[in-house]
Amino acid sequence: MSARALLLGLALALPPVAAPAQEAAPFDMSRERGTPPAGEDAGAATVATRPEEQAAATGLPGRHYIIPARSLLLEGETASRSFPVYLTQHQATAAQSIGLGYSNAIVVAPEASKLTVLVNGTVVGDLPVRSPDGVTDIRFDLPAGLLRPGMNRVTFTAQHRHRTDCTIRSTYDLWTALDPARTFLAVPPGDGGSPPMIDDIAAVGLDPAGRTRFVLVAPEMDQPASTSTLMRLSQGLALLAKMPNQSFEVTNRLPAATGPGEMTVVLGTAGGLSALLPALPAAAASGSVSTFVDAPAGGGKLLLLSGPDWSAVDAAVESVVSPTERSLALTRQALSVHRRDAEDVPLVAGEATLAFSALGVRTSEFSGRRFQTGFDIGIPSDFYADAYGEATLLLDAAYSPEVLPGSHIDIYVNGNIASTVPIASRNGGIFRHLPIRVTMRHFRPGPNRIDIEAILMIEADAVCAPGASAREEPRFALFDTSEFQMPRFARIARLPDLAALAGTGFPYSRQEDPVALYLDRLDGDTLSAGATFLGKLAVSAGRTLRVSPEASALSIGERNAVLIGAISQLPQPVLAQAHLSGESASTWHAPAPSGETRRTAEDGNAMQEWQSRIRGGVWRRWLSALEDWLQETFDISLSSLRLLPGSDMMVTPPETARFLVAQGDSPGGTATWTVLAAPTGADLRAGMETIAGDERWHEIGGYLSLETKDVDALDVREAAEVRFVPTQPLSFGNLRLIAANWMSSNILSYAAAFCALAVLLGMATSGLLRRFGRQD
Amino acid sequence: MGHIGTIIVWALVAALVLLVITLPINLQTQLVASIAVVTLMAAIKVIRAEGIWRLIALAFGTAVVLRYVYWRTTSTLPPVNQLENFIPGFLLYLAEMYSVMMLALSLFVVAMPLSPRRSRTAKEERLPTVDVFVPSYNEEIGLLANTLAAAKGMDYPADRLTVWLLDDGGTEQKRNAASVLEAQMAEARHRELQALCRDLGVNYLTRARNESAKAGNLNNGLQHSRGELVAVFDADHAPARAFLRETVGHFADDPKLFLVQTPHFFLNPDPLERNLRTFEKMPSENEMFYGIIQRGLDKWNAAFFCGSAAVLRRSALAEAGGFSGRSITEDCETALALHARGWNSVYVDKPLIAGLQPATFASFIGQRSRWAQGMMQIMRFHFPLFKRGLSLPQRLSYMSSTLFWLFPFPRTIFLVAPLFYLFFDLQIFMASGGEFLAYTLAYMVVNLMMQNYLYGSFRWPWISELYEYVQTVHLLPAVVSVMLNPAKPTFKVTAKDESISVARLSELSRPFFVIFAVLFVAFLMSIYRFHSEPYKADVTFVVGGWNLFNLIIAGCALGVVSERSERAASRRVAVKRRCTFNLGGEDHPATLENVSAHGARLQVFGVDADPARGETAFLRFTPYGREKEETLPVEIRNTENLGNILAIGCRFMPAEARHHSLVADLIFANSNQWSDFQISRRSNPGLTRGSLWFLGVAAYQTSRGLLYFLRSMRGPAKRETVR
Repeated sequence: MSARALLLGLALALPPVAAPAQEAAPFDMSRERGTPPAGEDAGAATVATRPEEQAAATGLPGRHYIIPARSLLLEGETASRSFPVYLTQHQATAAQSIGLGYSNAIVVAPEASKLTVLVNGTVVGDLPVRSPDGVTDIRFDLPAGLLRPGMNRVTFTAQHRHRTDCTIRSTYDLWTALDPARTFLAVPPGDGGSPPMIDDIAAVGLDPAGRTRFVLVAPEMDQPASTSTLMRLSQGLALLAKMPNQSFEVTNRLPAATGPGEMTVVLGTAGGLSALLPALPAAAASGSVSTFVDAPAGGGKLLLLSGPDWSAVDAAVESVVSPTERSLALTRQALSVHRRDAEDVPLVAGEATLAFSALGVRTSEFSGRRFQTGFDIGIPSDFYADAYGEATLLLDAAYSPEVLPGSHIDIYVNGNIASTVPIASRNGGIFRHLPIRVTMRHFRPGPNRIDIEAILMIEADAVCAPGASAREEPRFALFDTSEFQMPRFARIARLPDLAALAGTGFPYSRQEDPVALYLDRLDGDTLSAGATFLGKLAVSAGRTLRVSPEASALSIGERNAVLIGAISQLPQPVLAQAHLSGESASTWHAPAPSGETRRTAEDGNAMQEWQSRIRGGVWRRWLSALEDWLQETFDISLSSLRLLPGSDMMVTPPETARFLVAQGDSPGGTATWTVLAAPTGADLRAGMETIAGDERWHEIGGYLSLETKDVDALDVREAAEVRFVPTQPLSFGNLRLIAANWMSSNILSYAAAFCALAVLLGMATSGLLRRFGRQD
Repeated sequence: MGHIGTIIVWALVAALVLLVITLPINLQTQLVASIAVVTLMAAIKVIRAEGIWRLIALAFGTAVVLRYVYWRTTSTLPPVNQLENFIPGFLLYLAEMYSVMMLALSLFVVAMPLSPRRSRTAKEERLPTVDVFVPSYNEEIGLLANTLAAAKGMDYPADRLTVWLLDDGGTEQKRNAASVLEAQMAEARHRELQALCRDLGVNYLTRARNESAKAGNLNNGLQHSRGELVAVFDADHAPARAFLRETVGHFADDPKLFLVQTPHFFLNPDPLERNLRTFEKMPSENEMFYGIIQRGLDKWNAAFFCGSAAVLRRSALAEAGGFSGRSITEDCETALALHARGWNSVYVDKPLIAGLQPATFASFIGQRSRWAQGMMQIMRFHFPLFKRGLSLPQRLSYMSSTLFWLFPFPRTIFLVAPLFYLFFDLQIFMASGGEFLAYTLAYMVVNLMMQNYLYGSFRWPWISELYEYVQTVHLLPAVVSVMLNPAKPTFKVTAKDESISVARLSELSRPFFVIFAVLFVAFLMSIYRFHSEPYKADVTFVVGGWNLFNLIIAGCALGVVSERSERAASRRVAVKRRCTFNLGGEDHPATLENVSAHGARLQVFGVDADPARGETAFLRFTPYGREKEETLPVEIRNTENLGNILAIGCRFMPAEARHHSLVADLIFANSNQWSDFQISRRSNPGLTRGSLWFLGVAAYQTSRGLLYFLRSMRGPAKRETVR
């Protein structure tokens, strides 16, 4: 991994090389022979570097970045990722080429490996994967008319083969890394004569690190009247752009410049803005204004939302936000969250059968060893089948006679193995709607990723003759007639449940009344955190949420609320409702450097290692194999052997943590309060910005999630003590499934009910038999 | 709470149980619930809780079984589009569901069997007149003489008791047979039996033609007699003295009573008992039926007529037109017809007759084929579930009795199913190893525990499986043929008085060796696959284990079809009875040790010189119910000096009818000795000990069977049977 990080750290100072790389000799082995390769790309790939941070900070003008992430790896023998790119009329016509910067693992065989770029389904270029020594920049011209105004789709597909190895294991060493900072559509700067429009907000794009930032300049932010306007605006902008990693910065100063992936919005009454914007349109003094103006210091356009008073500003904001409104009566059919194939994720709210073709999985033949594909489905927030549920994949696939028994097809849900189908026949075979049961244990509200991986072993791989890794004969085929079958599942919401909050914005998403919003201070940090959070929530919920700012946390009462503030500023009762210990207000300080927490995990590994080392002897091996099998198959721990749910513990955030999201009931137990807290305002804003990143956002769960700076995962505390909130009619069928899930999570309760009822049945039968038939 | 209330409460509880059982819970929960149930059931079993706990334990078991059925139905069937898996998979499923249905029916029948009825001695003044029918076809005269003498010797006023020998071997049809030899033999039999009957004071009756087999013969008897009650004894079923005293009284209690049935007690082992040497220590096969099932049927007024050892009411038979003869099991058919007409039956759980059962495996199979085919005919001709006039419990009871005989189908499927996977790699049962553990294993353990709980002291573990397997091989074609052609089977009399002089393989043994060989190859295959295909070792382990179980049963069956030679021509019954032994005109005090139909062994005091073999002597004793000693001539066969006492083995030399009565009195008069013998065998070894014991027996019998097989390969000429 370290080698890869190093490669990623390398960046290129030279301007992008214009010559398409596919003109290079495809079977040029010169690099392997050790002679320095001749030709244009060789020079390009190895020249000195510039720290990535620098590129990330600004971005170069004229680039419309594509990859909404810090890095993108295409791993394994076959991998594909698509990204939506929203373009304005001008950008769509002006963009002439697509640039990409990539590097790859040294073991990738260039003659058998290929990187393909598709725009809106059309191949715009492919090239052998041959950049093991550093990032190579490639540029492909785009045919005229290929890009459209509005949503476009850019797809990167990689096919890798190993140079020397034919094992399954070796396929994990194959990768191509695309550098987001060097992967872009080249769009000449300027607006091409057409002034930007409100609709073009969606084309805000990305910065080189894959982020999107809205700067809300609001000099009057300390006025309570501005809060709800700001929050409404941030939600509207978030829904218009729907970028995966978008954050909001509320400030009272104009930024110096606006780079790619950034947008500045100036918000306030005409009076409040006059100092900031000398060239304020006169119309702002008389009525609502929503228009783009030039930044006073140059460097792009600003969106100006103004008016003579706050109600006029509100009206200006409304003109931006109103197109994103969705009535509660309208049920969503899909989650408007773009995942790997750049399509909306279908929302599966009950019994449903989805064909692979509709899920974006195409029929494909495969000649390698490890085939991977997958799709995403959306799950509603009141999904309650994680303990008992099983979905079914009806697999249409075929494998050739060379495939050896012992090969298998694995199904993963959100990265967790959910099912394995062994390939047992020696003579090839065709699966026709082979049912594969997939546990729903790892499903969570919101988008879910289901991966299908086929591990295919053949005799020739064991020998691995030269060139064998690049054999072309397909050994596996997956057909898009396969189906994903979701049974009817139990639906009832539980609170607290931060996963439902992150997934679909529950419980706030389903209410018509405004959400109470408490901000401990009306400063830039707190408002930024609030705007980022509500923007994220709006995208998850698929609609804007009305908020009513509250000056006092204690006046909220029995209403759903979001409370944001530095921990020391939040009232004790609020902390108590969110399962935060009273002492955390005083003990949780600025985070210490992280890294200390890792050691304990390593200690655990050492213990396991020792255990495995002393496992000798046939008998003991058998026993331990049985033990492992039991553990693997049943996974029963003492804690899962419970009759009734436990209770949630009070949490004191560890010193290392920077930010937390917690959820608890209102004091009366009828509404839900979500608390965002950090030791300081700066932590609040930075922490919120971090969890607003798409990957981290979907990790949020339980009743409390803790974020730690520079740690790659959230510390999630699962909720044990939950309040059930009916979201569906409590029909017999639904209640039955709810009972099944509850009893499957509180295992002993089922055994107890089972035995108690059997005793009753025995007694009733005895009564019956004593009354009927002959008696002694 | 009235009857309706009880039903409503029960239905509510049952609905709740069903609701919980059909919850789609996860595997862990199922495992924990299974473990809990098995533990609780074991606890109830260990403390031997009875009464209401019996039903609670059964409810536990039922719940687990239903849970298994739910899971098996919803999650394990192969997809229909894979026909090669689906068809055998569905057959296996049907076989399992049949087993579950039979379990349900038998649970219904035996959930609360009636306790053995208290002795119901008939009052002297109002005793009804009784005709005793002893139907005969080809039994030898000595056997008939003992039975008739025992029947004549029953404790009942002589003026109200008429014994009839209903001879179907001496009919006009037989005497005028086309074959001269047959005709001559029938004629001789006719003459001899007539003479015997004259001597014993028994009515001899035969008829013109052998129509409707045994039922026709009995109906002919009905036409010629007039007693209020009719007692029926097979030719080899000799009644004890108390038989009528214990049974007739019930008819006075209930005017609608048509039948009092008593158990059949056998003096000799069946082939399985003889070849496995379990007769002395393990309860007989039919004890489960007579000890529990008939008592359970009795609770529902559904105890049925078993062809012999029963008393019936003439007026009831007359109403139904006599004994039914449409099927080849006229007994059950008659009972069904009378139950449907609103008549009642009673079962008296006390052995009051002693008889013989088939000694060779071939005749055992012949007998079982008749039962199976007859029950299938009843199913076909009078489907009991929809039979008018029966109560619901009676319908279920008769369904249980008739459907039982479909067992060859599921047995065959259970035998073959693992081979589909081991040889052809077919996935006919879609389950992982873990699911198998949590569902199937729990089901099987609970099933065994329930069986042991219900039948523990009457049927040891795995013995039912063995009996069913050994019958299946030959019963399957018989049942199939009767299904295809229900009118075809005809009544064949089972030979019961055979003996085996030389150890040999049964003539029906070949298929058992073939099956054993196939299963053994499958066993090797399972070991090979377990090692060569580690990725599905768990499935192979389960299927291989299943096949190994089949192999063990099949191995044990090799012993069953390897017939041991039997020294005693007929079984000896232990007795302790004082008598006088007259040797050379001199009286010696003596004690009878044991007796058989042919002879006795005594301990004689005060004999100075060893008597010679073949010397004639006399045995003097007082028969039951008489005051005077009587004399029976014997011939000395062997002697053994035990110090003061001389043990003498002798052979009865009955010269006149009176002597047969004496022999019958020695063997049959006292029925308590049979009860004592049965009770001595009735112990419940428990599941674990019983299973271990069975494993030991199976291992030994497998080797014995293979040894007999090798021997038969070497010297086929030596094979010889003496009948």
